[in-house]
Amino acid sequence: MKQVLYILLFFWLLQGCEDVIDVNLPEEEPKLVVDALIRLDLTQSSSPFRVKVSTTGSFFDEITPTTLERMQLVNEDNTTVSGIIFLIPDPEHPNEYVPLGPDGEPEPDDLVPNDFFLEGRLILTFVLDNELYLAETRFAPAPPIETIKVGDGTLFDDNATELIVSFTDIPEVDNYYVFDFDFGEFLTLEDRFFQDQAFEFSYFYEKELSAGDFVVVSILGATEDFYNYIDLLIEQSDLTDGGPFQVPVTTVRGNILKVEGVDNIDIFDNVGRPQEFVLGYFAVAQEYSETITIE
Amino acid sequence: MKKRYLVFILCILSTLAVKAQQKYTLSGTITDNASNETLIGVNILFPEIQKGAVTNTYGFYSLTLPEGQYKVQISYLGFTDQIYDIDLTKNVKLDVALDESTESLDEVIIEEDVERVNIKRPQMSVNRLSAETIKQIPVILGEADVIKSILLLPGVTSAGEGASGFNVRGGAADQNLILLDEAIIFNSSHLFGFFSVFNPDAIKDLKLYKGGIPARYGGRVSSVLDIYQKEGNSKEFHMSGGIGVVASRLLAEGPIEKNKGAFLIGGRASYAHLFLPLFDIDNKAYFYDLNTKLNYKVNQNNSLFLSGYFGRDLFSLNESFVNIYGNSVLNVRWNHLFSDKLFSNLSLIYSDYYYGLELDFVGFKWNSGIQNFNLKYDFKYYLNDQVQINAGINNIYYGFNPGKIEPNNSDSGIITDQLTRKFANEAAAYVDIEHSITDNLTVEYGLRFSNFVRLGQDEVNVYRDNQPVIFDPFLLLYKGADPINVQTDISRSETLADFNNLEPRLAASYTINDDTSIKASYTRLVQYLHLLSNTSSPTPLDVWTPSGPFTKPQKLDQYALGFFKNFKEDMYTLETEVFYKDVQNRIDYIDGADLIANDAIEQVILNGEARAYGWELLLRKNSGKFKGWLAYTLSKSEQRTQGRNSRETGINLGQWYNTPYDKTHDISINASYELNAKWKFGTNFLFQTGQPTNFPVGQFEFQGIVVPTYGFRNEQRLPSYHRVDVSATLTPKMNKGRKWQSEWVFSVYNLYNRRNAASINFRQNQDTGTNEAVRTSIFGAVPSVTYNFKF
Repeated sequence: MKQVLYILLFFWLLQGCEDVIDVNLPEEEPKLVVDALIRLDLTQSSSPFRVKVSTTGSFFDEITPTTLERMQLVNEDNTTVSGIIFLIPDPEHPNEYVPLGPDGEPEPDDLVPNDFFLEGRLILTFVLDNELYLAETRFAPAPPIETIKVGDGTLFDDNATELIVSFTDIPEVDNYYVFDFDFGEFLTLEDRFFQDQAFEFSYFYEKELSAGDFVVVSILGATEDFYNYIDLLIEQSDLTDGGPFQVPVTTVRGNILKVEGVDNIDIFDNVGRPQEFVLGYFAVAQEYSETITIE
Repeated sequence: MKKRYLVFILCILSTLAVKAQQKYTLSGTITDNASNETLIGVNILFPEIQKGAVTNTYGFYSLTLPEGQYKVQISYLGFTDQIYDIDLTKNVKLDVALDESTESLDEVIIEEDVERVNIKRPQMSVNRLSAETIKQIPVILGEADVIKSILLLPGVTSAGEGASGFNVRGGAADQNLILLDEAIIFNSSHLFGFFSVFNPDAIKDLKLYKGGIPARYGGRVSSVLDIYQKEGNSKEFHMSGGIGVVASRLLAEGPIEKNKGAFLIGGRASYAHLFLPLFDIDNKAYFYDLNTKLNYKVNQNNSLFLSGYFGRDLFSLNESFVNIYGNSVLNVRWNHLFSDKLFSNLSLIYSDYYYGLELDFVGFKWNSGIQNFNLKYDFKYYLNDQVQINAGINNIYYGFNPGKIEPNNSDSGIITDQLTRKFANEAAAYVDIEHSITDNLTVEYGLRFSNFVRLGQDEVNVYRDNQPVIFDPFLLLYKGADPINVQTDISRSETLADFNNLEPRLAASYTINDDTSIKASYTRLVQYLHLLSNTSSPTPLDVWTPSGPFTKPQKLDQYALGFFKNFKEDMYTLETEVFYKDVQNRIDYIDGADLIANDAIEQVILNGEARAYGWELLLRKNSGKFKGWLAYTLSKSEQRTQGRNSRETGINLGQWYNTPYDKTHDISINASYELNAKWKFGTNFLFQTGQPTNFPVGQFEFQGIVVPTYGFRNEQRLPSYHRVDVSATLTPKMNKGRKWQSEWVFSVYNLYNRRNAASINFRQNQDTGTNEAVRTSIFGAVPSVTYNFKF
């Protein structure tokens, strides 16, 4: 929501006074990035599980895929199913990790039973350069999208496509939602102002769409921390920074931490090595998707 | 501690008192003969004994001298001097009405320090501009502008075009105390900073204090911009106005009762579709403001003033986004002379700032604002020719509405929510003494005592260990703590937090000779209100928050040293100063702090510190056909927020980083040339080191979102900012001898069409999928024409 406001504030200033320029950028040592958002379709019994790893690159270069030494997933509190899943590189995409099946090959369609995730603390660990990293999360539920339609409203850009989406908030608890509108366009919503209510809102596409295009829209449940993370990613990605209303930029840190060396004797925390971190996030979210064709 | 200060002051007062003997007082009010408008800063000079006085903000002066015969010269720039012989064998009242000098076009640019008296006064770090000067400076779109004018002074910068507010000596925009007829103005900008809220036609005089701030001011740590509105012409009815490319102005003034009372009413409005395509009638963007003033002189010793200001900005896009905001101010004042030596002013001020927003596509309305009631009682006692004592009390009650959200129609799923309203009271008392110790040494010393009480509110969060922000030592992230309890049983009259501060002020001036002086000052200021702004310049949406249990007041110590010289018979003046300042408890935001509609702001802020230092130079040519000034500032402004203990990294790993308003070099030149009675020309040149910013050091991708990564804060800079503006004023010959006076002002802003970067954004091109750096620049060359008239 914040982003929307900032865009609104600054939009009219920006018209017709932008140009692309060359800038010499400083560079830093590449950092590892782990993209481990697991989307669960609870209308089925199992869902695909896939983790992408890469390293940061210069802003104007391509992103470099990379590989790890080992990766596994544990449910600390779940005793009803086997409490550990080993992950191996997909032979066709060596930087993507998928569940290992009993035959030593990847599981067909990367499937993992949904029951594994629904209760308890989920811990993803991996090893890079002989150093251990860890991330912890919990399952976050989402309600179904009730209606979705293409609107004819516009905000600033007469060509922008409007989608009108409605859903009903999951009652009684504070909820956080992340909408994936395809093409890397995301929106975050918290239920603070529509607790337990049916809620309808409009989303205006950044990308120019034409009639006949179809888009996949998903609602994802989120923990408060993951909601904040996506919120920051959106803010830092491209849409909102502009001129005097620029929000302070920052490297968005996720929930993956380095545990190698934390021995509680000499090293109790990571305060002494603030530059040794990995980027990315491990989250497990319920998802409902709808496909809609642009008219 | 408090007691000791008090004793100290009493001692000084008592030593001063015994010196008085066989002395009489000359006092009075100086006005403009044409309108009865009182004149501020008029010099009352006694050339034979090298003494003098200056009129205060209400045109009053008083000076006590030994019995005798004196020649007194009343002099004010742009007006003809008057000389009187005074027989001071009793107290004498001398009210003088000055006539505008025939060469009144010969307006002096900045009047401060032009006279020798000011060489002596300890007041330093002040710049004064008259309304006439402001109107002569070439500006964007022909609209004369207060804030844009002060940006040409040394030590004053802004974030560029379309940026609200201004930065003084490396301070933030919320650290400026902006007073309009003594009322606090919370947002000084129309249209997000393109114009300031002050109608230049309605303004008489302004002063900008950058340092050495007298004890009568308090509440902001960086500067004071003190603006006085005109009182109105109590002799004749007059109108003036102007028609420009973005806005038009009309002002009427005249007597309510001849020579006793006057009114002034001025309005200004922009055209409705500013900057938006004209044919697009669904979108609107405009502003308007209204200034009013009434004054009535009850008798010799009593005057009443009523001033009002109302301004609004409105934006609307297709009715789906409507945004309205602005200030309102109402002020009643009573000037009373207890004696010819004791002047007093009582003010009752109400001011508020409103911000409203309606987002139809989400289905909600949003209202927020701040209100304050201010009671001030100020005294000035002209003890003798060596000592003047200012003293006063002040109480401000604040109510803050951080935001109320409501559904905008019955179908909206939004439920009404009121963010917790906040209340506070700020009280202060001060004494300030101007004391000529010897012929060469003049000192101004003062003390302000301020008390701030954060009052009870509906909900108060309670945190474990009183820590609303927690730190994850493994992920190295600051984040908000969850309250362990929410107190809801606190009444409005209870105290949540209470702060008391003593703010000493000291300024001294040592004159080496009649044309040269050295000045030094020390200022301590405390600021209890903070503007929550996560951007490098404030937005109308930003919310003020009071100090309280988790937010400490900002405390400033500033030291300044200056050298002042007039030469070539005051044709040129040189002022140069160095300053160092240090602010404790400057608030800083944790990474990713979300300030909008945040009901627990304490969860995203930490107290840090800020410092700034620099050198300023101002060289002026005050008279002749060619006038103007050169200002240069070399400075540094930075801040840091360290970890609260060794298990925290602090913000930016606890290291100093440049503030967004750190401009190493700042050069401005303003020049005007009067060719003949018909043509006048003006020009500005500005150069500023580029604003600190952040360029990405890398990028990553998460779920298709391309996200840049950054190194330490504010290590890169935008390209340098520079531009030239020119203006030409045509005064038609037919003006001579007729009532209707008019002029045409032609101007070009940014003459050589420099594309100054307001920002450089790094983003993924939606069409090509590649990353690019996009420069946003706001104004290229902008020509404009304005027609001004008066009758």
